[in-house]
Amino acid sequence: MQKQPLNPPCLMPITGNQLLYRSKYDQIYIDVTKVKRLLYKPGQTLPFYGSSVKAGFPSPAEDYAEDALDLNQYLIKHPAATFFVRASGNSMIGAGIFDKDLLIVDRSLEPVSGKVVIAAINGELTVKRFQKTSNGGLLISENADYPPIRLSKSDRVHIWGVVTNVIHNI
Amino acid sequence: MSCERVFNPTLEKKPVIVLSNNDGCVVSRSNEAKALKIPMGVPLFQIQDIVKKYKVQLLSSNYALYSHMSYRVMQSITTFCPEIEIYSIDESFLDFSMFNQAELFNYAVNIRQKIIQWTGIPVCIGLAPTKTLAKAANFIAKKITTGVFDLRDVIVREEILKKFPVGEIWGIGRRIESKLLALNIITAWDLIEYPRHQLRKIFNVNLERTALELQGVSCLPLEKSCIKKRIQSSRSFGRPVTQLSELREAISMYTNIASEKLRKQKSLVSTILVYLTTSRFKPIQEYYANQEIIRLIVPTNDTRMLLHKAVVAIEKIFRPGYDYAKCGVMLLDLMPETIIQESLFDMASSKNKIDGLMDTINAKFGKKTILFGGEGFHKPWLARSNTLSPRYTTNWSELVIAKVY
Repeated sequence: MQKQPLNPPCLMPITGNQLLYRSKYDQIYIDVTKVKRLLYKPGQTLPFYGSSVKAGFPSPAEDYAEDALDLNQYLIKHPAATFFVRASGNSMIGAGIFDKDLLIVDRSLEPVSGKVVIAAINGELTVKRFQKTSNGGLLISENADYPPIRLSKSDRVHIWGVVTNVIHNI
Repeated sequence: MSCERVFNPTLEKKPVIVLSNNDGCVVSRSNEAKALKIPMGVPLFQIQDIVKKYKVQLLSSNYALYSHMSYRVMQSITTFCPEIEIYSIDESFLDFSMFNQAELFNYAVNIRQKIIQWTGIPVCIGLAPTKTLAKAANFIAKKITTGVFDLRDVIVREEILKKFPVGEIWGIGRRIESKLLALNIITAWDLIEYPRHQLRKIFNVNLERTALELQGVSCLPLEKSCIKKRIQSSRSFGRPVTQLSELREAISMYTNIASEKLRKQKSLVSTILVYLTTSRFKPIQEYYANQEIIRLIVPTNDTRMLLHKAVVAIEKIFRPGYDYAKCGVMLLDLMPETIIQESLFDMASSKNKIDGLMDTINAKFGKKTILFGGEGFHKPWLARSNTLSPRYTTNWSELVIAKVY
């Protein structure tokens, strides 16, 4: 069956993560997140071949060659919005955060109750646990000496990012 | 300013200024500093009293931070629009012609909100059918709270351009502005109405193009290539330099930086310009500036050749007895590596492996791990930045700290 040419060839966003690619005779949906992952360097490794490519019978293992494991891929889902922050203090040892640990903070994530977040309180960056409430949210301290702080519309108290991982040196 | 505030929220709502290289001039001001009437580009020593009286905070330019944050912003923008031309460290043009035009305003508002959330940097967006109009729309967007302004509608455009001062149009500098005002062309609308062939006669074809763009006729396509046509490297000195030996070291360092950039974009250079100058602020009898242009027979990217030529040039233009404030090197007439035409008289030089090796070592172990000896080790003439903020995004030992309590 002859396909009618679609016209014009173009690329259109459909939803946040999908693009519709229309060429002359076909159209496909491209998942942008998969394409983005390939574009991210460094640390990105390319598949390597276990044997040198000679003329002759190819090794069946080649079909199963996979990318080497990459910590960047594991830890950083959104590179442009991910920052590294150094933790200072001992109040969250119970949560697994020790003094001088490296925190991986993703600013693109929506804060969810129970998550550890970085919050800017009166100009200072702090590490707190977030709790969603009917009028915004609450920042809970794991240290009994400090009261919970309400998120305010003004810039005095606001969320800076969500902590996704803690790197602790043993 | 925005970059510094992301990591140091105490800077918000206060007068803060960022200083240029060597803490010389003001290159960025917070809104509160602008309110104190501190002009852009003014040397620090001229506003010392304002700084003391209003406790204006000073920061040295943290280029490592700004360029990296710019990269994040541009990367984020790319997820919303693949057709992007990165115009400068904080500006880019996007081509939305393939998008649903009716939804574009809301889309732009969404882009701005997401970029602020992801990177902390507030961006403003101007929508228009041409680049020049988009720049004008962006100028307005910066002054309104939504941060987005739409100049696509012809009626809105006419109303705005009739009040838009001609000096704020992209591509029109002070000199052209004063000539236009003398011709009674005061607003952008006046410029559009002026007979175009006259514009070309009195000024140049670029101004005619600007006028066309203001009318909605696109003359400037999106340029996606980021290959620079010239590479420049220079810095002001930390203190006045009088010795030729120090000038040789400095020019060697700048030439090395420039040739690294040259190799990175896979280009060759055939014309080098070396210049030096004393301070602009000194009286006329102590002022001396000169430059030397070297044309190479064979285009090259060989650092040793470039270093040799640059040092010979600086020796030629050096005059003893002056306090030099700055020197620099410019690589002009760049061409891609793939075009090499050797002259009949030039001996084919051995393939340059040293540069490639140095680039690899410096890339792996850090900038300036291995240098050419001509640069000098101590470099007492190098500019110092006294109030540099930490390199939050490029240095493990300078990360921002969050208190746990």
